[in-house]
Amino acid sequence: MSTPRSQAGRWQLSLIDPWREAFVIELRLRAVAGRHIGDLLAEVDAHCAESGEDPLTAFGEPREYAAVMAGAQSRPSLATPWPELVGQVARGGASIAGGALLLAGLAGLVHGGGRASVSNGLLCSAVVSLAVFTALLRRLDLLVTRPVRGAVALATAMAILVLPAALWHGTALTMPAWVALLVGAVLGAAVWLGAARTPDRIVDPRTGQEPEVGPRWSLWAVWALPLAMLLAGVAAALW
Amino acid sequence: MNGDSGWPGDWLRGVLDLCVLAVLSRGPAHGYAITQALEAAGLGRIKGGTVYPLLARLEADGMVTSRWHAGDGGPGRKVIAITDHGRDHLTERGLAFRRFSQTAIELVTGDVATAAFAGTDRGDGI
Repeated sequence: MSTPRSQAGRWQLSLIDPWREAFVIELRLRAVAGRHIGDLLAEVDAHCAESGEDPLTAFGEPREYAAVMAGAQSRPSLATPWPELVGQVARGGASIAGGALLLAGLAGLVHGGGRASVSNGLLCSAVVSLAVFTALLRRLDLLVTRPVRGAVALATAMAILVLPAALWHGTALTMPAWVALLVGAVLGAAVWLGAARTPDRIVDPRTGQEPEVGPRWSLWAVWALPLAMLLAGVAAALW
Repeated sequence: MNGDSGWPGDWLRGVLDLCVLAVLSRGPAHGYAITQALEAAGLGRIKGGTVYPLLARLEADGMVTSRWHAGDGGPGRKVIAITDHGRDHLTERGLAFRRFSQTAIELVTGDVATAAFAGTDRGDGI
């Protein structure tokens, strides 16, 4: 089991440990603020360093301890509340629409003589994507607590949602390619700025630093799936 | 999860907040030092999973305050201090607890219990 590390004499929070990882995921699911999570993690580190105990011995099961410490801050249910979901779904819808318009605009420039067309199938896939995205956000906890079943369900949903785009070719609407590219870029930029503006980072109360989360490459690994989807979309649009 | 002293867990739960406030009334302390003081007082080894939620409740109720202090070569300590409200609560509930425990002691082990047993015997028609 990995423990918090001292680097150049300074202690740093670490999440590279199954107990701490499960503890933080449960606190995040309960919408506890990042600053408070940092405080709780530092408390666990300090106690374990002084007592020589591991977190499981000192604090018990991480999910149960997180539920207790979340206390009054905690949501009554792990399901994302609807008001919060509306904002997240709006951002998801904007990113899906923005991505589809960028791809349609790109295909229109290359193959369509300057006209972008959105097929019935692509429109249908976009709507299904939004429904899957909404369901995923609503019960994010199930994906975390039952990862195998969640991953199978997610992979199945993604395989099904590309079918309309691949098989249903009738044109739903057309527009100048530059309009599609411009609207797609504006939607994409709005989503990007919105996501960058609202981080709720975990902060170590002792140092003001963010915790160590893993090797540097793991920070980039989270972009692998979106990047692969983008490249596949661009390839499909240009093909 | 209360400890391995042999004391029933529900006894500890009922009085642990006063015990922690009593430890803190002697001076500020960090979480692990509080568990050591409780153990030294004979209450057994109270786990972190019991003490820290209690400290969080006491802080939410304004009875203690906490502040991080940087450690020399260590991970730093969150030092807990009792507030005036906490001292008032300790005094008031401490006195009430003394009356309550004396009553319970008399009932369970003292004259009251003896009289009750004697009454039961007479009732059986000896």
